[in-house]
Amino acid sequence: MKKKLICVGLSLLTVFSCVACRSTSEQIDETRSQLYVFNYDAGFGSDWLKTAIERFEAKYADTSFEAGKQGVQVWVDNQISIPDNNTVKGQNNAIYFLEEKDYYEGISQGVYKDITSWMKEPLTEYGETESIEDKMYAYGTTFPDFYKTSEGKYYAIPFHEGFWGINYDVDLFGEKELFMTTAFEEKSEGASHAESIPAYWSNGKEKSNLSKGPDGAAGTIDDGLPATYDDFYVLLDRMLVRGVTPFHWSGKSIRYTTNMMYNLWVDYEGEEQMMLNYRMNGNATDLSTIDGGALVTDETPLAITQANGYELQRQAGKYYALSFAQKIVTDKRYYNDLAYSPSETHKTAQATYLYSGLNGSPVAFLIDGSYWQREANAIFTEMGAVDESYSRASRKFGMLPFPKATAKKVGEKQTIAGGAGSYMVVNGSSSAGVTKQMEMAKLFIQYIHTDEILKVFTENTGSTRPLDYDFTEAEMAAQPYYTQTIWNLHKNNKIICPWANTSLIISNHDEFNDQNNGFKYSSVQTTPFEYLKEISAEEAFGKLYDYKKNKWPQLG
Amino acid sequence: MWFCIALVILPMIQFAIFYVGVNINSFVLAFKKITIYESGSSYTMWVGFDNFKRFLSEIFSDGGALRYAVVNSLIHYAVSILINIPLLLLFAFYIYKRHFGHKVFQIMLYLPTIFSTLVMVISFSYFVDRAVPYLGKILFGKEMSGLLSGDLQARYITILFYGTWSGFGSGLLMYASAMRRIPESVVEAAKLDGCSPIREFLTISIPLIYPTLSTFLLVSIPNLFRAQGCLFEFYGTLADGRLQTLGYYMYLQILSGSKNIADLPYASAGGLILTAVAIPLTLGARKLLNKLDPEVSY
Repeated sequence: MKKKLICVGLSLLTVFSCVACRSTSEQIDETRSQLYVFNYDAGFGSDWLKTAIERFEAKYADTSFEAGKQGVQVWVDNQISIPDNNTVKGQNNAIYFLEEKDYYEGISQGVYKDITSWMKEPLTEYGETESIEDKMYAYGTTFPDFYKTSEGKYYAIPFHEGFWGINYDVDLFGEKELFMTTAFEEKSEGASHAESIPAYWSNGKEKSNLSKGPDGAAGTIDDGLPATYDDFYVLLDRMLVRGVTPFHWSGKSIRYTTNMMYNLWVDYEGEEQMMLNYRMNGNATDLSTIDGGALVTDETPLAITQANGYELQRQAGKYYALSFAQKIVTDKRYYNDLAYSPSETHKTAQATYLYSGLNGSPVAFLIDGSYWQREANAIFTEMGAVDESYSRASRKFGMLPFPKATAKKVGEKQTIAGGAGSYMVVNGSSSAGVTKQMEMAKLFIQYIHTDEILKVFTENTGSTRPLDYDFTEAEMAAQPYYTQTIWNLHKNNKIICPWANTSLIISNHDEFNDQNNGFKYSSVQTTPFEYLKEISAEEAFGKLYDYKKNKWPQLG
Repeated sequence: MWFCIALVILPMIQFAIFYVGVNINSFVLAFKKITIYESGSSYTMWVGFDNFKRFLSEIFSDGGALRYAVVNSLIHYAVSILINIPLLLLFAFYIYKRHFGHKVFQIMLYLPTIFSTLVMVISFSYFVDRAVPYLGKILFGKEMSGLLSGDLQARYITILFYGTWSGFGSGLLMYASAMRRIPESVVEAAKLDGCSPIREFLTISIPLIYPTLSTFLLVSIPNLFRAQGCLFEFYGTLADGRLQTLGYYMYLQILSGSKNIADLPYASAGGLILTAVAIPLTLGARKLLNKLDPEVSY
């Protein structure tokens, strides 16, 4: 009897496991045409897509796309894993929102549809005069160069501009008086113990008293923030004086720290010099070497071609990024105890960061993507349920504008690398199921590129898209502070697409991504936040160059 | 007859496509290079043994990840043979003899096999990275880093320890049940002759379970090339290169290839080289184990 009961119990368990895990309250509406969309439901989620779909369905409620049906019903398949190309070919989804996929490989395998005509068609259907392509070019960055093939065709549209940087707790900065004042700015160079002089620090309430920040202009969003690396180092010590741990990051996703360093390098170089790393065509003006422990820049610019592209490993911005990182990692007081732990995933790191103030050990900076707040929604909700002042709406965070490596660079616009592997495509399958969705897919793709929905994307995700669109001042002032700092980077600075559609880059994708192209000096040591604990920035700078130079012939 | 054919035809087709076909494709891919052009088209060309040369040169290059992977794989394998298996046999003997607490040992040592690997890895990493430093501070007043996030040596030993502990599971049960099949009369006769427990373990139990032991030893040889040491579960794709094993290294190559097909030929060549080493090694080990067989039966 006992055995029978056990068998029945086990059978029931098996039966339950066969039931579909995904429950949906929505049913297929046979009176409407179906449009199937795949969404990589990670950092940016799908809330913006729900809003866009509701409006799209309402707009076309009376339109017939196939005989006997009226209106359109958009189904979203939200997944946290990206399908491979063969899977995409076999699926019925018409549109895909993807990340970390090799664009040109998808084209070569015939997975993506040619959408050039959709890109070039003005959005007159929605009362606008520009096309999607116009908006991309009007934005004025390098994204179109990558997504347009050498034959002038488009197979994808860049999706989001997510990037990795240093997120900071604005409330904590105010509470612990971590904003810099004009007095700090005016102090003499090399003044000691600046971290302990009260006149140099402020709670940020008196805006007119704040230093100008990296943009060198008063009255802007970066006032009171460190303008240079040296200022930043003083800020780190100020934090220690005030009982604040400066940094935390995810030990499991330690690549975020490399992505952040990569952006430091990008910011130093600016668009033109940084894009040499991918276009291999132009003059490199700041190639440097270490001489007697100091960085010495070459007197004459070097003409870069595919033959000598490895020389770009000597760009000065790379050295400065290494020295910035080394400052942080060689002093344990500057980062949380769990920062290097592989048990610290990106989400537990967000929890550690958000909860840090509650246990008396507040942390000021979190190295994470610009999408992190949406990812940490559950933690904000949990904290807000106990005390509303800890909810997402009540707390104030910002994306720290990168300080400049040298005083000479203060005042230059920020340049940041946006996600090159994030794009939306249309299924290139010729199956009947996919083909009959094309008319709706085209309208949907064009609809989500109207100014209205581009703004919905930013409002919902706090992030931006690499196209030209705008908010009024009042609209932006109503957004969370974090969104405002991201918008400032989008609107007033430069977000570039660090990639190129040359055969060298496309065929050696792994070697030229931001992890490996920037800071890998051997097949063993790949993460600078780890190896800079053992070797100096100067030594790493030399090793990075040697590694790339030796590897270069294999990449041809 | 038709019924039998109908029953096996689908599995046979699957086998032909997903095993035979895939392996033939891997074999051919190892001799090619794939280039993707600006237009999105791709071009595949025959490059002979270039991929093989590259793989072999990386094994012999100073400080290369592949060289570390080979050495680490050998160390992991040596630990499993010299420490894991003797400990397994001792624990199996203890459980077989039903000494004090044998049920507790059985459960504790089998636990890692019952729970999901991810659950075990996460629990273990939480323990060694948070609880251990905390205990170190409380008990010894010493500030210490987590065992998986501190210095390289600590990480290496911790990974080896976890691999040893998590590897006990099924082997323990197999050896214990093999020992339980030893006739009681043999054991009793040995006792009457004044045989000590250690003597019984070495001269009776081990020889009589030799077929089970040799099977496990033989089956463990491919693990030399496949075992990741749970590195992916602990560190994702970012394990320090000095910790990597061959299994982990090859897995990273496949992951890279899944994102960019241009990386696949190198991975294929590596796989073929490792297969070429594994086959004679396995056959040689089988010959050696057959020679060492005491050929006792009951």
